[in-house]
Amino acid sequence: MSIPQELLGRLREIITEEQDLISDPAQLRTFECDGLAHYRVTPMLVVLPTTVAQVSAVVRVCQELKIPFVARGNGTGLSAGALPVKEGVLIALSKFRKIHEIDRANQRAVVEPGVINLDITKWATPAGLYYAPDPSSQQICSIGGNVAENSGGAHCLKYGFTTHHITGLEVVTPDGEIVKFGGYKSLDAPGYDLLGAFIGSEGTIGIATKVVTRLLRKPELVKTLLAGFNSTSEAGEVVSAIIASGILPAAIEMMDELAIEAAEKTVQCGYPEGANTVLIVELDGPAVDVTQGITKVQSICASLGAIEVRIAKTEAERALIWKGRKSAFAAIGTISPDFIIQDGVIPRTVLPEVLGEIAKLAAASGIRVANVFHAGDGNLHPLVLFDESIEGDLERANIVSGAIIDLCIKYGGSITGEHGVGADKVSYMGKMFNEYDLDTMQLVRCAFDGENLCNPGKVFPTPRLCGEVPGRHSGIHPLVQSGLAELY
Amino acid sequence: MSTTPLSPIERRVGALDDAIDGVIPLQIASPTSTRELERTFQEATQDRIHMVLIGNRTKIEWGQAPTAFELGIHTGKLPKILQHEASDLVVRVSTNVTLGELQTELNRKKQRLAVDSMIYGTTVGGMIATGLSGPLRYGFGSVRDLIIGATVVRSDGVRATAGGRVVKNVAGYDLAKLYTGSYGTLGAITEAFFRLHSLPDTRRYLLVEIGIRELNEVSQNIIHSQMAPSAFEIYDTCDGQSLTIGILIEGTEESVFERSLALTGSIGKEPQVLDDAPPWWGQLPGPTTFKVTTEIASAPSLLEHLHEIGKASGEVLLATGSLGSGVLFVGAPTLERAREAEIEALTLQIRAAATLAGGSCIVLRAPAKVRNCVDVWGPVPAIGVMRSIKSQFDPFNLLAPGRFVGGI
Repeated sequence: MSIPQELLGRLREIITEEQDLISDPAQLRTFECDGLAHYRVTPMLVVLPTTVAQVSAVVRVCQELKIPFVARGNGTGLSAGALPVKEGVLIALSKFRKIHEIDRANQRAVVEPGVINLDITKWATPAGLYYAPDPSSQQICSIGGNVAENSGGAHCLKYGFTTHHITGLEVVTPDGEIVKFGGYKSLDAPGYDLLGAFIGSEGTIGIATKVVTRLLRKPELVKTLLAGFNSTSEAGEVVSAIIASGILPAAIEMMDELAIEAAEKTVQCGYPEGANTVLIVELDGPAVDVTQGITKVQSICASLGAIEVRIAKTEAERALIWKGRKSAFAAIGTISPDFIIQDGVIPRTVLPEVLGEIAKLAAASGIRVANVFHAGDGNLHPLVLFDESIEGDLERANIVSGAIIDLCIKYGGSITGEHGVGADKVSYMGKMFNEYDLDTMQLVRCAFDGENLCNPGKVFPTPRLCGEVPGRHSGIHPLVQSGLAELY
Repeated sequence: MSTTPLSPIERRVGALDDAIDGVIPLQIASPTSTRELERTFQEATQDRIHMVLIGNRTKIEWGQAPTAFELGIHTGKLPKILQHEASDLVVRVSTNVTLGELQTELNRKKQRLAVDSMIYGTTVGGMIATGLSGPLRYGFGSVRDLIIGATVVRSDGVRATAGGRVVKNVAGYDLAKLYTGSYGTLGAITEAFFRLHSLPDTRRYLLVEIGIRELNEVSQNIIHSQMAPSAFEIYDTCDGQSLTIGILIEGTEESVFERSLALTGSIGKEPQVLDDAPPWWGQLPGPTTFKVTTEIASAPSLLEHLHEIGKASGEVLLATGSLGSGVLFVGAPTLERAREAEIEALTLQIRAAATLAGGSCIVLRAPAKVRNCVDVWGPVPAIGVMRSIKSQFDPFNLLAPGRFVGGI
């Protein structure tokens, strides 16, 4: 790919350290994908700015020369949300690693976007505080990526997602302007909720360069329970019964037989022998609530057919229970050479029906599906297993994976609970939303990025032409067409 | 006004009761279906008619007075929808349902939308449009944190949905949050999905009078306590005479008892214990109400500033609100009687105190005289971005023009 000399020259003026501007093809390839590695595009150029002024200047040059640009954190995303554009510039925020402050009195942290999620908690621990959203990749993912994807995690059942824990952002808009969103260290800044619009917009309306997060008080007590069941539907009933009892656990996780088998093989987590399904239920909060609640959960499990119920007595036992769950994705490699991690959401109450339908899909196609999921909020992570060396296996796996997402839509759920749409699921957006829904979302995009240069090709199946006046679409207005309205 | 043929949508000539800030609209439309609402918007936009959505009028004069107002659109005759999916802890509700009606229905199944009814009779739409939240935001977040999906009719009559009925969902932009607190300037929010919480068995309020000098230490002890109170409020007459903090503890009887004991230890004084909320709880002091935000740790110094401002100006001030969230409501009961220059000066002083405390200050509600002589919203960061969003959603500036920040 030949690099326009004007672009290269202008960027060199901004990024003066030679190693921070990458144009060597071999080096560029290290940025060709994120965590969803089967999408690969080598960018034209990579820059590693160290200041917000540099980010702003790079973006301004891109705008001026109409060059697409994509921001990237630690590249752990699972929807190809940071997939580069071939003729574009990749802006890697990996040098934005500073934790500016941990403010105990205000229960806030101010950090740069390249800071690793778990590091915020590590730094906040001496103050008795922690950062709540905990995606499985929290040891390696960046907070900037979390903001882009509105990341969740096992504990978002009780504590919510990234959007509930960010009170301020410094953002470089697609025009290169440096602006602040939100009240920063206070809540409810006057005006539109730009934080709400920005968080989860997958890098399509700007680049966060500073993040103000809430920090929560560490809970007084945490209790983790492990229960084994003969079937996923029994475990599903338990989940509903726990929620109906008024208890709000910090997390409720479920794993089925295949996922258990893989985890046992890899980390020997000692889950109940013979269990077809396991549930992990974690309660946290004031000791009195947790002690009462865990007893209640224990008796719900026992009364609804659990073959074994265990409450972790020590931190080591708790860690082992979680180890099985957290290693599940990687462990699948021990039982299948290749697999697709799916991410869909269903209303919690239809869990048994949907799992039944997934089992039917698997049986009919000959493709095995392991299920690992955040059962408390209906967020499924089916792992669709295949062997690329077998002809047609990948295609069959893709069909099953797609059919699972169709099931989520059919049951009133969502095509993604936490991984995002990225480049991977753009084709499903039109199944979940109609053209007017998508058009309305793109009004926001147009407000920020009229030229569609900021992370193009993500989230939306087709870009909106931003010059269009809303409602004045070509052709006949849908309301007129359906006989519901007249034009005078 | 429109010269288009009359449509079957119910319309009448505007009357004195329909006025907003003294301006009587030429016409009132009362659509009876979402499709009629879409048509009303579409027709009005074609004819460039300025419109304001009207629910129960409980907050109709909040914000700046609209700069043009020809058509009032009543939402009261739209169909009411209330689908409580109790097992999924979510509700779908049309925005013309009142918050009271909604809570009554949810309470039947021992659930609730964890927001406070700050204004009696408010509709769900009014609550979303103003984003108004009360004491429970400390424990559960505010309206924007609990809304998970919204359907909006845009100014051009196009109906669009964002979000959905599942709590965990990152597909597409989270427009429900953008609409929350947008004061009807982006479209008509016709229905919403909310995340719900269980109703607690027991509630208890701990009230303690303390001195302003003790406030910082007590406040820090409470926010760093592990007893997870649902609310942490203040009631301050700003005259140095009475400053009361209030803590709401919810849960099972045993839990509430034990946590109350622990929190009493954090306060360091024996509190008054009530089963019912004190009369000031979740009330907006008025008739002029400033909403003042602050960094949590700066709240005590902000209150001290307010005491000084009240003393120097001779205005009576009263502060309530969430000490734990740093969102206060400051009432000025007699401000309307002051001269314009004094009103302006007081507003600027409170705004300066809020800025010093790391927050902001808006005039949440006030008699017309007060609102007409001050900038209700004050300085707004990223106003350029907001104007750009507004012009995309409402390119002819027809929805509640001038009501929102920066003349939006």
